Amino acid sequence: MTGYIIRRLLQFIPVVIAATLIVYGLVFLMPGDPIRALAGDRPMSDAVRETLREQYNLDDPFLLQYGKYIWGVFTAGDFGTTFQGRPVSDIIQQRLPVTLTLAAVTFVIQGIIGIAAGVLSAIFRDRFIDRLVQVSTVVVVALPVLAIAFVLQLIFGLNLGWFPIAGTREGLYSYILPGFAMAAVSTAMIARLLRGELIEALQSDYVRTATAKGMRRSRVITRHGLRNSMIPIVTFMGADLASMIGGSIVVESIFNLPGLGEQVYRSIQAQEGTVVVGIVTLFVLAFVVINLIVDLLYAVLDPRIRYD
Amino acid sequence: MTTTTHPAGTEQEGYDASAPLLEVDDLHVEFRTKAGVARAVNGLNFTLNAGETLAILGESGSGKSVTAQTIMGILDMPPGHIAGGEIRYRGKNLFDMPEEQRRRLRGVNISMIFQDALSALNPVLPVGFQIAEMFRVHRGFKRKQAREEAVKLMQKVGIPAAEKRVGDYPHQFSGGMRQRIMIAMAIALDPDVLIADEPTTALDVTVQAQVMRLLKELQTENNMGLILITHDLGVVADVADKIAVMYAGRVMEAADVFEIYAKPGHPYTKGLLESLPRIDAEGERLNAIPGLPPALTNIPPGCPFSPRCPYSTELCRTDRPELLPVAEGHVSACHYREEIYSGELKPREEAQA
Amino acid sequence: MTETNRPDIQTAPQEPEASGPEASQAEASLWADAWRSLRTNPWFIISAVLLLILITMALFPQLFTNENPRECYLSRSRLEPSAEHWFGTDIQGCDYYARVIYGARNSVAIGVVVSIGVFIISLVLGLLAGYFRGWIDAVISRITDLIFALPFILGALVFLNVIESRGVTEVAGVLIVFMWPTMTRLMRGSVLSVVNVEYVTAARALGAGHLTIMRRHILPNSLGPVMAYTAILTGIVIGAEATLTYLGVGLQLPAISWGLQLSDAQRYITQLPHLTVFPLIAVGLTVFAFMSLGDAIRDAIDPKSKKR
Repeated sequence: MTGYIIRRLLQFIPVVIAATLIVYGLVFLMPGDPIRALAGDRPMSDAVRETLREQYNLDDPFLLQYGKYIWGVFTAGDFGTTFQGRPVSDIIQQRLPVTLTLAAVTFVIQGIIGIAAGVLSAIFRDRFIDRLVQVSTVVVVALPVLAIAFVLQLIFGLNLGWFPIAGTREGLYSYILPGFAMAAVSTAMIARLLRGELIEALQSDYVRTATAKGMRRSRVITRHGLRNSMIPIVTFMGADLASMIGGSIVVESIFNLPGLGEQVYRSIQAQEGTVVVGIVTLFVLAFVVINLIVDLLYAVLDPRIRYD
Repeated sequence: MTTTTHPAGTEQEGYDASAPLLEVDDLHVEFRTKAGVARAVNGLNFTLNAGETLAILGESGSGKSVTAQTIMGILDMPPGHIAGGEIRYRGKNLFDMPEEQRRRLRGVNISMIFQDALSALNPVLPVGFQIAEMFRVHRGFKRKQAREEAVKLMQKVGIPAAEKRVGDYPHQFSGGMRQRIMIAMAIALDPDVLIADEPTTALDVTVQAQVMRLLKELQTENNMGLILITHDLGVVADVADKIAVMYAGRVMEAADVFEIYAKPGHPYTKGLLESLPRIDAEGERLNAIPGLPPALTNIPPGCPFSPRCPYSTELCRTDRPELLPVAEGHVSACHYREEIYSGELKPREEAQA
Repeated sequence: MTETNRPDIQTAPQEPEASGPEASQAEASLWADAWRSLRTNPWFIISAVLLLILITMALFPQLFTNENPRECYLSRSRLEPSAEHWFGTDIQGCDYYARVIYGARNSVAIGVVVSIGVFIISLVLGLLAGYFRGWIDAVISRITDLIFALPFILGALVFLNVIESRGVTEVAGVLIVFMWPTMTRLMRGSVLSVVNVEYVTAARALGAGHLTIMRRHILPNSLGPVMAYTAILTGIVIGAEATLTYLGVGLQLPAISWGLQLSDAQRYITQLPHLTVFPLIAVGLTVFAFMSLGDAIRDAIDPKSKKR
């Protein structure tokens, strides 16, 4: 097992390096001189400019700049500093809780609603509730996050006024609409996936055995049917957690949540290269780690899989 | 009212201790599909007494597994549908019982072993958990106590190092060991009736014999009624007391095991016996029964075996023969049962030749 | 034991097995079957009708409105929907109905261009990777891994931000860069599933060249899932374009685009919600139409997926 983890981590290294290198290169290519942008309209002496260029390694060749940066990230957790002199890790620390809260709310929503809908749909197969789940998931899966976010904001935020439409002033309550917007598509996919898996499991021989053992229907469904059907669901939810990173940019922007997604979007527009690189590096690392955890979780859930 | 033990508990719920253990009376089971109604079981009758082994013999599609599932109450409904008849356990009709009462019979009084233990055992739960579950659900045992019982059962069915292996998963066992675990699970609560659906078909020949021996021992020890469902005449001979031969959802012939081997009273049974490889007939071609069983959606009006029967006449094609006695404790559903039984009748081709 | 005596566990009535006609006939009937199941699928009908309207809208917007979307008068700014202006007017006093109608062209154009581009790339790369395996496969798989590690929206955001002047071509180009890996993997998977089938081995043994085998045997049998996904992808692309444009890194004014409309409207979402509602409906319906068309095609080609 340990060997497997180490091998996987080693495999990830080139991916992490290449992905961050691309982003670093693109930010490097961003139009405009960052030092001049920093100075704004004020005049700046050549001496000051030189010092700044040195401080940010701007005169080094590109690959050396990148090398110094990534070395700092892995050895000292140093994600660089903004040109205003503020450490990027500071910004990350300040913004991370918002994004994590949003991710957690999303995860809970899609877990509860997706699984409940999938189970009901499978148990009451071809009845009204199943048809309802089927139709609504077909529609939701086929909508872009952008549209869902706006629809929720318009209906439940503006029209009905049940939830705040922007900011985090009302604490966890402010995360409900954004959470639903982020969760909607995945919830529908979980419901559809679980329905198929559970229907298959309920027709399997081992579920028939459980019934023949005199187990109650509820126990047959949860202990024997669901236990097996949840394996692909957990994998899906894990992989989806990684893809939430992209969704968070859109949703945090629409609902004006001060998280990492909204920060990276603003920094791109404000051409704060170091912030963009810092946050993207963090995202890529998170993606890699989540994927590894999902793989390991898979082995825990399905004893037939062994990584030797 | 809760039943945790029997037979004390079973008496309370209106069971008749003097009645036969299990009676199947004119059972009809159909499958309603888009392609039409498939009549899987058509008026099946048999009786099983305590301590008795009844072998139900038949080809694929003869309705033997459907019968087993109907007794257990694990038939998929729909498309399955019980179209008539009764199954009585100790005199009480299973079909009249509320579902909760039937559930409490399953695994406790009537238990079942499936053919393919690998797919019949839950792949993601340890075998010990799956055995212990019987005690936890039906007896209300605590986790640890149930686990101890599971280890004991595993030892009883001959699994080496049971204590070490109780936490292992089904895929970590060999085919024979898996089937032993299946058996341990089925006999955990000392059932009166044990249904074994092709228990050895998926196993190697040497392992087959061991598993059959184990089943026989357990049956004798607990005085169980054992229903052995198989297509293999060879498996049956050593173990069974009675044999019922099924074809197209009906019993074609039923008799004592020695009687049926010595003097079959139905052309179908005769055909099955002749298709067995024999040591003393080396080099001869095996006599397979020509043709295929009828489609269950379209069973011929007369004797269902008539299209394949070498003895069939016009009468066989129009009139369905009843299951009638040919000798003491020996019944056959053939118009010419007497002649077959005494060996007088010749197949048509030979007669014409 | 003789053959006739050999039973199996099958107890339910068996459906008569399909008689085995020749391969080409089977193929023809496969597509005929697919078409038959499509015609009876209500989702297919709904999405086909929607797409027909949408494509007409993109090609001939004049059929739907006499107003010129670029004729704007500040004197009629911010009007609510009325008989004269069905969708009201925007801040500049442009007829909003005309602007939403004319917005279809850019969305559909980007969707179609990207899908065709991704389809061609995936076909070639998937075929090469799946057919030749070895180092070609390794290289292509590593590159797809790399692009997967960058969250799509984030990558596109950084990429597009570098390009100063962005039209349909630029946006479509960047979207292709990020969209090809998924379909390439799909194509590779379906090639792998047919590459070792006996008739391919037989063709190889008979001395058929790689190109012939790919063209005659592999391609026709692995195209189904990719074609269904192309329709789904078109939907995803249109949603992504609207999202990126909304975030300010997609199309730029004076282009007429739903994403730009949404982006402008957000500042007025509390006062003038209709400015958000109409382009939102347009984006939603368009994405939905393409995606459910793809779903319907997939179900028709692969009946096994239907239970999902």
